[in-house]
Amino acid sequence: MSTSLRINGRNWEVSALDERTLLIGPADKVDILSGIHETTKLLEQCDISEILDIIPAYQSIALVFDHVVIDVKDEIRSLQKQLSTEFSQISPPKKHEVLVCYELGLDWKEVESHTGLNREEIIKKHSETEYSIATMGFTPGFVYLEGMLASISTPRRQNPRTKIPAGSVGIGGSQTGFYGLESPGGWQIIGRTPNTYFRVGDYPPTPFSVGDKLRFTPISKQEFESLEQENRLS
Amino acid sequence: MTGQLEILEGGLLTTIQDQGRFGYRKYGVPVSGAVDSHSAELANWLAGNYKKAPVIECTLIGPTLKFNSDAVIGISGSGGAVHLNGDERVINETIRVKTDDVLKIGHLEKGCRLYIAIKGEWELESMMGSFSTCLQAIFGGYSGRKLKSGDSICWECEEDDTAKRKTPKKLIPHFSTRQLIRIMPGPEWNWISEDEQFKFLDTDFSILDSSNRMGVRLKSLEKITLQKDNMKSGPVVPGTIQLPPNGNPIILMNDAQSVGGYPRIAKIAEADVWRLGQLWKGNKINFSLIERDKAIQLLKYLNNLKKDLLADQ
Repeated sequence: MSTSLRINGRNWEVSALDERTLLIGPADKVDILSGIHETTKLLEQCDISEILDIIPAYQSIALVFDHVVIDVKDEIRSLQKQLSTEFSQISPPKKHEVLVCYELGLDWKEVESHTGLNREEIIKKHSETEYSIATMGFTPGFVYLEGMLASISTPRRQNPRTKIPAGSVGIGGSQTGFYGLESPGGWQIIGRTPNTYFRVGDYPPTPFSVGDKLRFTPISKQEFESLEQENRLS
Repeated sequence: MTGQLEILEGGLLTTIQDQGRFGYRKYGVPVSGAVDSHSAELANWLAGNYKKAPVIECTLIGPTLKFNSDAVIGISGSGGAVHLNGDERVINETIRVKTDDVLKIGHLEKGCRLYIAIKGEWELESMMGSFSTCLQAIFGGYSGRKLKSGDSICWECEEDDTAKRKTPKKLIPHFSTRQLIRIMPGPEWNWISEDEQFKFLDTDFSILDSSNRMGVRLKSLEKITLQKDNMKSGPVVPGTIQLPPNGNPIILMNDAQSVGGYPRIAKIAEADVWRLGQLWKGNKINFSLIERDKAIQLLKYLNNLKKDLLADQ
């Protein structure tokens, strides 16, 4: 069943996830994530009306069609045609700055004892890195970031929390990220942002796209509180 | 003509759903929508609505509704608990309710979900292209939450010109306590050994009561073991069967995430996914492995059957 698609100078292996969903993954396993992000962008820019959802993840992208894909090869041929006529420049990744109050971390003890570093060192390492947005598919607005320094990796909590406040910034194994909404979760929480990055009234509901660059900027508790109040009033 | 009903009792988990929200899964927004999409579609057909119109989804214990105007409604799904002004009411046919009528949905008996459609255009805001309630992010449907007493639903309806319809018998599901669900191999099907694959297909799975709109959780006497479990998160869709390291499969449903890190050992054929929406504690399921081509045939058969039988009677 496996068949191939060529996008932006890269070959993609195609397989079917079900009757209407195709999975495409890079044939060449080099720099997979940035290939996925570029291709996601290109597919979005082509705005193919038969594709209902494009779901990028770490090693593949799901394309959910509005119809049953009877013949995978035919579908790929038709997709390839639409892509080749629409090839355009990929817009460069956006850059975001996310303010974090590290004082509001809930799991500093665990992170400090696991990494053997003190809080200041961890904050420095966490906020001096430029991250890429890897994927957002866990809960609405949850952002997974790629690029965290290995020295601050910390395993997830043994007992996940049933409620984590919206805006919580956490470490889960070798990844970092933040929760767009209040939700359950097992990551080690090291801070919180006062800003809301998932707004249902906005289109799109979040300013982020996969592949965008992101940095954390430390703020004090006072700044957090005044920003939070400002956000609440607006 | 404007119609209105009031919720007297909310029931256990009564939400407004339609056929789902598409285009936002890349932001982590679930599809949502009626978990038994087949019954939701039938309810809308009975009420003379279009397929994608919003419906009221009842779970286990339904709501009590008081109509403050006449209405044409359709009820489909798990029966046995529907009372109109105190009298038991047959479902799966067009029902005309009068002003001041009280519709009470009690404990659902055979399945766990029931759908109520009301003819007309509901006064609801479509959010991200759908009327479905997204419980996690609190939007869509009725203020993003389940219905409770004191809430009301309003609609605009043209003249009552709907012919009385009856759901064709062939389209009414058989609510058996034991079901055979057809699956296709998932991307990580080979992460379980051939022996374990055989065991998976030969095992009776029970439904756990921790199941919800996000996932149907299964349990079996003999656990299914993975050969490896170091997966990088990949795309998932409703009907994906994940196998966590504890050996108890989870079938992802409409409110599930769109990216998941457990091996996707199988995917339920679309022609069977809606059946999962009726399964609850005490039910048992078995899986039967089919080819993708066969799954497409089953879906075509179901869709053609609906097209033929639901053409105006």
